[in-house]
Amino acid sequence: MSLIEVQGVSHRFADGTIALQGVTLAIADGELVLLAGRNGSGKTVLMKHLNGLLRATEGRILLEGRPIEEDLPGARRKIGLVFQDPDAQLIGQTVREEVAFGPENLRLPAEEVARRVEAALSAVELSKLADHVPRRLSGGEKRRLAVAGVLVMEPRVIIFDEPFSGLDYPGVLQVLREILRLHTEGHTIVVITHEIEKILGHATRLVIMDGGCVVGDGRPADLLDRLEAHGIRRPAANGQGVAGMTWLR
Amino acid sequence: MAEIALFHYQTRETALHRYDPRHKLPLLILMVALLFHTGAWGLLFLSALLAAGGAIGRLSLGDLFRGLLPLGLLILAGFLAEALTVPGAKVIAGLPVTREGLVKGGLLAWRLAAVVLLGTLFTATTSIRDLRSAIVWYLRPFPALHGGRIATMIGLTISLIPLVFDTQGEISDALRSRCIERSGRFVRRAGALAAPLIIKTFTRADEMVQAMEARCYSDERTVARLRARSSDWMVTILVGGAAVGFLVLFPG
Repeated sequence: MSLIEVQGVSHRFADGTIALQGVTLAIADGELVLLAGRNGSGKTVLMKHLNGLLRATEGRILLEGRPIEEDLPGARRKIGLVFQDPDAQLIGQTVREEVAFGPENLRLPAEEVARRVEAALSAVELSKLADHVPRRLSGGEKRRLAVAGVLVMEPRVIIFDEPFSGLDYPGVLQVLREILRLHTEGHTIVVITHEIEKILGHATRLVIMDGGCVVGDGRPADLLDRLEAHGIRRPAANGQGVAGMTWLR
Repeated sequence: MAEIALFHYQTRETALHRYDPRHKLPLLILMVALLFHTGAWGLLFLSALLAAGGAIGRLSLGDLFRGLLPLGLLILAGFLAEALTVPGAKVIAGLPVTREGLVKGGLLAWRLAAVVLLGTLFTATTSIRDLRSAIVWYLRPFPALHGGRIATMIGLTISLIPLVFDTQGEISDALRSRCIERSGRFVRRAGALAAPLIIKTFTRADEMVQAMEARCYSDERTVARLRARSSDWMVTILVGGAAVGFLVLFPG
Protein backbone atom coordinates (compact mmCIF):
# COMPACT_ATOMS: atom_id res chain seq x y z
CA MET A 1 0.00 0.00 0.00
CA SER A 2 1.26 3.48 -0.86
CA LEU A 3 1.68 6.01 1.90
CA ILE A 4 -0.10 8.74 -0.08
CA GLU A 5 -2.48 8.13 -2.97
CA VAL A 6 -3.80 10.98 -5.08
CA GLN A 7 -6.75 9.61 -7.03
CA GLY A 8 -8.06 11.66 -9.96
CA VAL A 9 -7.83 14.99 -8.13
CA SER A 10 -9.09 18.09 -9.92
CA HIS A 11 -9.34 21.59 -8.51
CA ARG A 12 -11.25 24.52 -9.92
CA PHE A 13 -10.96 27.92 -8.20
CA ALA A 14 -13.99 30.15 -7.64
CA ASP A 15 -13.01 32.34 -10.61
CA GLY A 16 -13.15 29.30 -12.92
CA THR A 17 -9.40 28.73 -13.17
CA ILE A 18 -8.63 25.02 -13.40
CA ALA A 19 -5.53 24.39 -11.30
CA LEU A 20 -5.48 20.58 -11.29
CA GLN A 21 -6.99 18.13 -13.77
CA GLY A 22 -7.36 14.48 -12.85
CA VAL A 23 -4.03 14.17 -11.04
CA THR A 24 -3.24 10.59 -10.05
CA LEU A 25 -0.11 9.86 -8.11
CA ALA A 26 1.09 7.41 -5.46
CA ILE A 27 3.98 8.05 -3.09
CA ALA A 28 5.58 5.15 -1.25
CA ASP A 29 7.18 5.23 2.18
CA GLY A 30 10.81 6.38 2.10
CA GLU A 31 10.80 7.93 -1.38
CA LEU A 32 12.48 11.23 -2.27
CA VAL A 33 10.17 12.57 -4.95
CA LEU A 34 11.06 15.61 -7.02
CA LEU A 35 7.91 17.35 -8.27
CA ALA A 36 8.93 19.70 -11.05
CA GLY A 37 7.06 22.00 -13.37
CA ARG A 38 6.96 25.51 -14.76
CA ASN A 39 5.31 28.38 -12.82
CA GLY A 40 1.55 27.88 -12.65
CA SER A 41 1.73 24.16 -13.42
CA GLY A 42 -0.22 23.27 -10.26
CA LYS A 43 2.60 22.01 -8.02
CA THR A 44 1.82 24.21 -5.01
CA VAL A 45 -1.93 23.69 -5.36
CA LEU A 46 -1.33 19.93 -5.28
CA MET A 47 0.86 20.32 -2.19
CA LYS A 48 -1.93 22.18 -0.37
CA HIS A 49 -4.33 19.33 -1.16
CA LEU A 50 -1.98 16.80 0.43
CA ASN A 51 -2.28 18.63 3.76
CA GLY A 52 -6.01 19.38 3.44
CA LEU A 53 -5.50 23.16 3.09
CA LEU A 54 -7.40 22.95 -0.20
CA ARG A 55 -10.20 20.48 -0.95
CA ALA A 56 -10.43 18.69 -4.28
CA THR A 57 -13.31 19.61 -6.57
CA GLU A 58 -13.13 16.00 -7.81
CA GLY A 59 -11.18 12.96 -6.70
CA ARG A 60 -9.72 12.14 -3.32
CA ILE A 61 -6.47 11.81 -1.41
CA LEU A 62 -5.69 8.85 0.82
CA LEU A 63 -3.10 8.75 3.57
CA GLU A 64 -2.26 5.22 4.69
CA GLY A 65 -5.40 4.06 2.87
CA ARG A 66 -7.81 6.54 4.53
CA PRO A 67 -9.25 9.73 3.01
CA ILE A 68 -7.46 12.63 4.67
CA GLU A 69 -10.78 14.41 5.42
CA GLU A 70 -11.59 11.66 7.92
CA ASP A 71 -8.83 12.87 10.22
CA LEU A 72 -7.46 16.24 9.09
CA PRO A 73 -5.47 16.99 12.28
CA GLY A 74 -3.93 13.52 12.02
CA ALA A 75 -3.06 14.10 8.35
CA ARG A 76 -1.50 17.45 9.20
CA ARG A 77 0.62 15.83 11.90
CA LYS A 78 1.86 13.17 9.50
CA ILE A 79 2.36 15.39 6.44
CA GLY A 80 4.40 18.51 7.20
CA LEU A 81 4.59 21.44 4.78
CA VAL A 82 7.55 23.76 4.46
CA PHE A 83 6.20 26.74 2.55
CA GLN A 84 8.04 28.57 -0.22
CA ASP A 85 8.21 31.84 1.70
CA PRO A 86 9.49 31.03 5.19
CA ASP A 87 8.43 34.49 6.43
CA ALA A 88 4.82 33.54 5.70
CA GLN A 89 5.20 30.48 7.92
CA LEU A 90 6.77 32.23 10.91
CA ILE A 91 4.23 32.79 13.67
CA GLY A 92 6.24 32.81 16.90
CA GLN A 93 8.13 35.83 18.21
CA THR A 94 11.19 33.83 19.12
CA VAL A 95 12.74 30.79 17.45
CA ARG A 96 11.69 28.62 20.40
CA GLU A 97 8.07 29.88 20.32
CA GLU A 98 7.92 29.39 16.59
CA VAL A 99 8.86 25.72 16.87
CA ALA A 100 6.51 25.22 19.84
CA PHE A 101 3.48 26.46 17.88
CA GLY A 102 2.55 23.04 16.40
CA PRO A 103 2.85 20.86 19.53
CA GLU A 104 1.03 23.52 21.58
CA ASN A 105 -1.85 23.19 19.11
CA LEU A 106 -1.86 19.47 19.87
CA ARG A 107 -2.26 20.39 23.58
CA LEU A 108 0.75 18.33 24.54
CA PRO A 109 1.96 18.78 28.13
CA ALA A 110 4.41 21.69 28.53
CA GLU A 111 7.30 19.29 29.35
CA GLU A 112 6.68 17.29 26.16
CA VAL A 113 6.47 20.50 24.11
CA ALA A 114 9.81 21.64 25.56
CA ARG A 115 11.43 18.23 24.88
CA ARG A 116 10.25 18.18 21.27
CA VAL A 117 11.28 21.79 20.67
CA GLU A 118 14.82 21.16 21.97
CA ALA A 119 15.11 18.02 19.83
CA ALA A 120 13.85 19.77 16.68
CA LEU A 121 16.13 22.79 17.17
CA SER A 122 19.07 20.52 17.79
CA ALA A 123 18.28 18.50 14.65
CA VAL A 124 18.50 21.62 12.46
CA GLU A 125 21.40 23.08 14.49
CA LEU A 126 19.51 26.15 15.65
CA SER A 127 19.66 25.53 19.43
CA LYS A 128 22.01 28.48 19.92
CA LEU A 129 19.49 30.81 18.29
CA ALA A 130 16.51 29.61 20.37
CA ASP A 131 15.85 33.05 21.88
CA HIS A 132 16.46 35.03 18.70
CA VAL A 133 13.74 36.83 16.75
CA PRO A 134 12.89 34.70 13.67
CA ARG A 135 12.64 37.62 11.24
CA ARG A 136 16.30 38.53 11.91
CA LEU A 137 17.64 35.11 10.83
CA SER A 138 19.32 34.60 7.47
CA GLY A 139 17.40 33.02 4.58
CA GLY A 140 18.96 29.59 5.13
CA GLU A 141 18.34 29.76 8.89
CA LYS A 142 14.70 30.71 8.33
CA ARG A 143 14.22 27.67 6.08
CA ARG A 144 15.83 25.44 8.71
CA LEU A 145 13.57 27.01 11.34
CA ALA A 146 10.54 26.24 9.14
CA VAL A 147 11.81 22.63 8.93
CA ALA A 148 12.12 22.51 12.75
CA GLY A 149 8.53 23.80 13.01
CA VAL A 150 7.46 20.78 10.94
CA LEU A 151 9.86 18.22 12.47
CA VAL A 152 8.52 18.95 15.95
CA MET A 153 5.18 17.43 14.88
CA GLU A 154 7.08 14.16 14.18
CA PRO A 155 5.72 13.78 10.64
CA ARG A 156 6.25 10.83 8.28
CA VAL A 157 6.22 12.96 5.14
CA ILE A 158 7.78 16.39 4.65
CA ILE A 159 6.92 18.45 1.59
CA PHE A 160 9.23 21.31 0.63
CA ASP A 161 7.81 23.98 -1.68
CA GLU A 162 10.61 25.66 -3.66
CA PRO A 163 13.10 25.21 -0.80
CA PHE A 164 16.00 26.87 -2.66
CA SER A 165 14.32 30.02 -3.94
CA GLY A 166 16.00 33.22 -2.83
CA LEU A 167 18.91 31.47 -1.12
CA ASP A 168 22.60 32.13 -1.74
CA TYR A 169 25.00 29.23 -2.39
CA PRO A 170 25.74 28.44 1.29
CA GLY A 171 22.02 28.69 2.04
CA VAL A 172 21.19 26.17 -0.71
CA LEU A 173 23.83 23.77 0.64
CA GLN A 174 22.45 24.07 4.19
CA VAL A 175 18.91 23.31 3.10
CA LEU A 176 19.96 20.56 0.68
CA ARG A 177 21.97 18.79 3.39
CA GLU A 178 18.99 19.10 5.73
CA ILE A 179 16.63 17.52 3.19
CA LEU A 180 19.02 14.62 2.56
CA ARG A 181 19.57 14.07 6.29
CA LEU A 182 15.81 13.87 6.86
CA HIS A 183 15.52 11.37 4.01
CA THR A 184 18.35 9.28 5.41
CA GLU A 185 16.61 9.24 8.79
CA GLY A 186 13.57 7.64 7.18
CA HIS A 187 11.27 10.51 6.28
CA THR A 188 9.42 10.44 3.00
CA ILE A 189 10.35 13.63 1.17
CA VAL A 190 8.60 15.53 -1.62
CA VAL A 191 10.53 18.49 -3.05
CA ILE A 192 8.62 20.88 -5.29
CA THR A 193 10.99 22.91 -7.43
CA HIS A 194 11.92 23.99 -10.91
CA GLU A 195 15.58 24.37 -9.88
CA ILE A 196 16.09 20.64 -10.29
CA GLU A 197 19.83 20.78 -10.97
CA LYS A 198 20.38 21.37 -7.25
CA ILE A 199 18.90 18.07 -6.10
CA LEU A 200 18.00 15.80 -9.03
CA GLY A 201 20.99 13.53 -8.35
CA HIS A 202 19.45 12.49 -5.02
CA ALA A 203 15.85 11.98 -6.14
CA THR A 204 14.49 8.45 -6.31
CA ARG A 205 11.72 9.63 -8.61
CA LEU A 206 10.81 12.59 -10.80
CA VAL A 207 7.25 13.77 -11.41
CA ILE A 208 6.65 16.47 -14.03
CA MET A 209 3.54 18.63 -13.95
CA ASP A 210 2.26 20.93 -16.66
CA GLY A 211 -1.11 22.64 -17.04
CA GLY A 212 -2.44 21.05 -13.85
CA CYS A 213 -1.71 17.50 -15.06
CA VAL A 214 1.01 14.95 -14.34
CA VAL A 215 2.78 14.62 -17.69
CA GLY A 216 5.74 12.51 -16.61
CA ASP A 217 6.41 10.16 -13.70
CA GLY A 218 9.39 7.83 -13.36
CA ARG A 219 13.13 7.51 -12.82
CA PRO A 220 14.93 10.85 -13.30
CA ALA A 221 17.22 9.41 -15.99
CA ASP A 222 14.22 8.34 -18.07
CA LEU A 223 12.60 11.77 -18.06
CA LEU A 224 15.58 14.08 -18.64
CA ASP A 225 14.90 14.57 -22.35
CA ARG A 226 11.31 15.61 -21.73
CA LEU A 227 12.07 18.38 -19.25
CA GLU A 228 12.51 21.34 -21.58
CA ALA A 229 9.25 20.62 -23.41
CA HIS A 230 7.54 21.38 -20.11
CA GLY A 231 9.41 24.58 -19.24
CA ILE A 232 12.11 23.08 -16.99
CA ARG A 233 15.80 23.58 -17.77
CA ARG A 234 17.58 20.28 -18.36
CA PRO A 235 20.58 20.17 -15.99
CA ALA A 236 23.95 20.02 -17.72
CA ALA A 237 25.56 16.59 -17.67
CA ASN A 238 29.06 16.64 -16.17
CA GLY A 239 30.13 13.14 -17.07
CA GLN A 240 28.46 11.49 -14.09
CA GLY A 241 24.95 11.36 -15.52
CA VAL A 242 22.00 12.07 -13.23
CA ALA A 243 24.03 11.21 -10.12
CA GLY A 244 26.16 14.31 -10.71
CA MET A 245 23.16 16.64 -10.90
CA THR A 246 23.47 18.10 -7.41
CA TRP A 247 25.09 21.11 -5.81
CA LEU A 248 26.72 18.94 -3.17
CA ARG A 249 29.41 17.54 -5.43
CA MET B 1 21.62 48.15 20.17
CA ALA B 2 19.45 46.53 17.55
CA GLU B 3 16.90 48.62 15.72
CA ILE B 4 13.53 48.80 17.41
CA ALA B 5 10.48 48.79 15.21
CA LEU B 6 7.01 49.63 16.44
CA PHE B 7 5.28 46.77 18.30
CA HIS B 8 8.09 44.27 17.70
CA TYR B 9 8.93 41.93 20.57
CA GLN B 10 12.57 42.26 21.67
CA THR B 11 14.14 39.19 23.22
CA ARG B 12 16.11 40.22 26.30
CA GLU B 13 16.73 38.81 29.76
CA THR B 14 15.49 41.72 31.85
CA ALA B 15 13.27 42.18 34.90
CA LEU B 16 10.61 43.79 32.70
CA HIS B 17 10.62 40.79 30.34
CA ARG B 18 10.28 38.44 33.33
CA TYR B 19 7.54 40.53 35.00
CA ASP B 20 4.42 38.32 35.16
CA PRO B 21 2.07 39.31 32.30
CA ARG B 22 -0.90 38.79 34.64
CA HIS B 23 0.47 41.81 36.56
CA LYS B 24 1.67 43.69 33.50
CA LEU B 25 -1.72 43.62 31.78
CA PRO B 26 -3.82 45.36 34.51
CA LEU B 27 -0.98 47.81 35.06
CA LEU B 28 -1.08 48.66 31.35
CA ILE B 29 -4.83 49.25 31.55
CA LEU B 30 -4.32 51.48 34.59
CA MET B 31 -1.65 53.47 32.73
CA VAL B 32 -3.97 54.04 29.79
CA ALA B 33 -6.66 55.26 32.21
CA LEU B 34 -4.06 57.56 33.75
CA LEU B 35 -3.14 58.88 30.32
CA PHE B 36 -6.60 60.06 29.50
CA HIS B 37 -7.87 61.11 32.93
CA THR B 38 -5.05 63.19 34.29
CA GLY B 39 -3.25 66.43 33.46
CA ALA B 40 0.37 67.40 32.99
CA TRP B 41 1.52 66.03 36.38
CA GLY B 42 0.07 62.60 35.65
CA LEU B 43 1.64 62.68 32.18
CA LEU B 44 4.97 63.63 33.70
CA PHE B 45 4.75 60.69 36.12
CA LEU B 46 3.83 58.37 33.25
CA SER B 47 6.67 59.67 31.09
CA ALA B 48 9.11 59.04 33.93
CA LEU B 49 7.73 55.51 34.25
CA LEU B 50 8.12 54.99 30.50
CA ALA B 51 11.73 56.15 30.66
CA ALA B 52 12.38 53.86 33.63
CA GLY B 53 10.61 50.97 31.85
CA GLY B 54 12.69 51.55 28.73
CA ALA B 55 15.89 51.52 30.78
CA ILE B 56 14.94 48.39 32.74
CA GLY B 57 13.82 46.64 29.55
CA ARG B 58 17.10 47.77 27.92
CA LEU B 59 15.27 49.72 25.21
CA SER B 60 16.86 53.12 24.62
CA LEU B 61 14.67 56.23 24.48
CA GLY B 62 16.08 57.06 21.06
CA ASP B 63 15.05 53.67 19.73
CA LEU B 64 11.61 53.94 21.31
CA PHE B 65 11.08 57.38 19.77
CA ARG B 66 12.11 56.10 16.35
CA GLY B 67 9.04 53.87 16.65
CA LEU B 68 6.94 57.05 16.83
CA LEU B 69 7.99 58.23 13.39
CA PRO B 70 5.33 56.31 11.41
CA LEU B 71 2.66 58.00 13.53
CA GLY B 72 4.36 61.41 13.60
CA LEU B 73 1.95 62.84 11.03
CA LEU B 74 -1.09 61.77 13.05
CA ILE B 75 0.33 63.29 16.24
CA LEU B 76 1.22 66.51 14.42
CA ALA B 77 -2.28 66.68 12.91
CA GLY B 78 -3.81 66.31 16.39
CA PHE B 79 -1.57 69.06 17.74
CA LEU B 80 -2.38 71.45 14.88
CA ALA B 81 -6.12 70.77 15.09
CA GLU B 82 -6.14 71.82 18.74
CA ALA B 83 -3.69 74.69 18.30
CA LEU B 84 -5.71 76.21 15.46
CA THR B 85 -9.26 75.69 16.71
CA VAL B 86 -9.28 76.23 20.48
CA PRO B 87 -10.38 79.82 21.24
CA GLY B 88 -8.20 81.98 23.48
CA ALA B 89 -5.44 84.57 23.52
CA LYS B 90 -3.75 84.95 20.12
CA VAL B 91 -0.04 84.15 20.12
CA ILE B 92 0.81 85.54 16.67
CA ALA B 93 -1.13 88.38 15.14
CA GLY B 94 -2.98 87.32 11.98
CA LEU B 95 -2.78 83.58 12.75
CA PRO B 96 -5.55 81.63 14.55
CA VAL B 97 -3.03 80.03 16.95
CA THR B 98 -3.93 80.57 20.60
CA ARG B 99 -2.01 79.99 23.83
CA GLU B 100 -4.80 77.73 25.12
CA GLY B 101 -4.77 75.84 21.83
CA LEU B 102 -1.02 75.30 22.03
CA VAL B 103 -1.34 73.96 25.58
CA LYS B 104 -4.23 71.64 24.69
CA GLY B 105 -2.51 70.56 21.47
CA GLY B 106 0.72 69.93 23.35
CA LEU B 107 -1.08 67.78 25.93
CA LEU B 108 -2.88 65.84 23.18
CA ALA B 109 0.37 65.21 21.29
CA TRP B 110 2.04 64.14 24.56
CA ARG B 111 -0.85 61.74 25.29
CA LEU B 112 -0.80 60.22 21.80
CA ALA B 113 2.97 59.81 21.91
CA ALA B 114 2.73 58.24 25.37
CA VAL B 115 0.06 55.77 24.15
CA VAL B 116 2.31 54.62 21.33
CA LEU B 117 5.37 54.43 23.59
CA LEU B 118 3.39 52.50 26.20
CA GLY B 119 2.21 50.02 23.55
CA THR B 120 5.73 49.73 22.17
CA LEU B 121 7.21 49.13 25.64
CA PHE B 122 4.54 46.53 26.46
CA THR B 123 4.82 44.59 23.20
CA ALA B 124 8.63 44.86 23.15
CA THR B 125 8.86 43.19 26.55
CA THR B 126 5.88 40.79 26.51
CA SER B 127 5.79 37.85 24.16
CA ILE B 128 2.45 37.07 22.54
CA ARG B 129 2.67 33.60 24.06
CA ASP B 130 2.86 35.07 27.59
CA LEU B 131 0.15 37.62 26.82
CA ARG B 132 -2.07 34.84 25.48
CA SER B 133 -1.56 32.77 28.61
CA ALA B 134 -2.41 35.77 30.82
CA ILE B 135 -5.63 36.49 28.90
CA VAL B 136 -6.63 32.81 29.09
CA TRP B 137 -5.93 32.94 32.84
CA TYR B 138 -8.12 36.03 33.33
CA LEU B 139 -10.98 34.63 31.25
CA ARG B 140 -10.91 31.13 32.78
CA PRO B 141 -13.81 31.95 35.18
CA PHE B 142 -15.94 32.89 32.13
CA PRO B 143 -16.05 29.79 29.90
CA ALA B 144 -18.80 31.29 27.73
CA LEU B 145 -16.30 33.93 26.51
CA HIS B 146 -13.98 31.36 24.80
CA GLY B 147 -10.82 32.77 26.39
CA GLY B 148 -8.52 30.77 24.10
CA ARG B 149 -10.11 32.22 20.98
CA ILE B 150 -10.13 35.80 22.30
CA ALA B 151 -6.48 35.47 23.37
CA THR B 152 -5.49 34.13 19.94
CA MET B 153 -7.33 36.94 18.15
CA ILE B 154 -5.60 39.59 20.29
CA GLY B 155 -2.25 37.85 19.80
CA LEU B 156 -2.68 37.68 16.02
CA THR B 157 -3.71 41.32 15.83
CA ILE B 158 -0.60 42.36 17.75
CA SER B 159 1.62 40.14 15.62
CA LEU B 160 0.14 41.58 12.41
CA ILE B 161 0.76 45.23 13.41
CA PRO B 162 4.56 45.12 12.94
CA LEU B 163 4.08 43.20 9.69
CA VAL B 164 1.87 46.02 8.39
CA PHE B 165 4.49 48.62 9.36
CA ASP B 166 7.26 46.53 7.78
CA THR B 167 5.24 46.20 4.59
CA GLN B 168 4.48 49.91 4.56
CA GLY B 169 8.23 50.59 4.86
CA GLU B 170 9.02 48.24 1.95
CA ILE B 171 6.34 49.77 -0.31
CA SER B 172 7.41 53.32 0.61
CA ASP B 173 11.01 52.47 -0.32
CA ALA B 174 9.86 51.02 -3.65
CA LEU B 175 7.78 54.16 -4.35
CA ARG B 176 10.62 56.50 -3.38
CA SER B 177 12.98 54.61 -5.66
CA ARG B 178 10.64 55.66 -8.46
CA CYS B 179 10.53 59.31 -7.35
CA ILE B 180 7.01 59.30 -5.85
CA GLU B 181 7.89 62.42 -3.84
CA ARG B 182 8.03 64.39 -7.10
CA SER B 183 4.36 63.68 -7.62
CA GLY B 184 2.71 66.82 -6.27
CA ARG B 185 -0.70 65.38 -5.46
CA PHE B 186 -1.07 63.99 -1.95
CA VAL B 187 -4.07 61.84 -2.96
CA ARG B 188 -2.04 60.15 -5.72
CA ARG B 189 0.85 59.45 -3.33
CA ALA B 190 -1.50 58.10 -0.66
CA GLY B 191 -3.30 55.89 -3.20
CA ALA B 192 -0.03 54.52 -4.55
CA LEU B 193 0.87 53.44 -1.00
CA ALA B 194 -2.56 52.32 0.23
CA ALA B 195 -3.57 49.96 -2.60
CA PRO B 196 -0.53 47.64 -2.50
CA LEU B 197 -0.40 47.89 1.31
CA ILE B 198 -3.98 46.64 1.67
CA ILE B 199 -3.49 43.85 -0.87
CA LYS B 200 -0.20 42.71 0.67
CA THR B 201 -1.59 42.84 4.23
CA PHE B 202 -4.53 40.63 3.29
CA THR B 203 -2.25 38.26 1.36
CA ARG B 204 0.08 37.94 4.36
CA ALA B 205 -2.85 37.39 6.69
CA ASP B 206 -4.12 34.66 4.35
CA GLU B 207 -0.68 33.02 4.22
CA MET B 208 -0.43 33.15 8.00
CA VAL B 209 -3.81 31.45 8.34
CA GLN B 210 -2.71 28.68 5.97
CA ALA B 211 0.55 28.21 7.87
CA MET B 212 -1.40 27.99 11.14
CA GLU B 213 -3.90 25.50 9.70
CA ALA B 214 -1.08 23.36 8.29
CA ARG B 215 0.27 23.05 11.83
CA CYS B 216 -3.04 21.94 13.38
CA TYR B 217 -4.09 25.36 14.72
CA SER B 218 -6.55 25.15 17.58
CA ASP B 219 -8.06 27.69 20.01
CA GLU B 220 -7.38 25.38 22.91
CA ARG B 221 -3.62 25.14 23.14
CA THR B 222 -0.95 24.40 25.68
CA VAL B 223 -0.51 27.59 27.72
CA ALA B 224 2.77 28.93 29.07
CA ARG B 225 3.40 28.42 32.79
CA LEU B 226 3.23 31.80 34.51
CA ARG B 227 4.87 32.55 37.81
CA ALA B 228 4.40 35.70 39.90
CA ARG B 229 7.42 36.49 42.09
CA SER B 230 7.20 38.57 45.25
CA SER B 231 9.04 41.35 43.39
CA ASP B 232 6.21 41.34 40.78
CA TRP B 233 3.68 41.92 43.54
CA MET B 234 5.79 44.74 45.01
CA VAL B 235 6.09 46.52 41.64
CA THR B 236 2.38 46.16 40.93
CA ILE B 237 1.39 47.54 44.34
CA LEU B 238 3.89 50.43 44.24
CA VAL B 239 3.38 51.55 40.63
CA GLY B 240 -0.34 50.80 40.62
CA GLY B 241 -0.80 52.67 43.91
CA ALA B 242 1.12 55.68 42.59
CA ALA B 243 -0.97 55.70 39.41
CA VAL B 244 -4.22 55.60 41.38
CA GLY B 245 -2.86 58.40 43.58
CA PHE B 246 -2.21 60.60 40.53
CA LEU B 247 -5.67 59.81 39.18
CA VAL B 248 -7.26 60.92 42.46
CA LEU B 249 -5.01 63.91 43.23
CA PHE B 250 -4.49 65.30 39.71
CA PRO B 251 -7.57 64.49 37.62
CA GLY B 252 -7.48 65.89 34.09
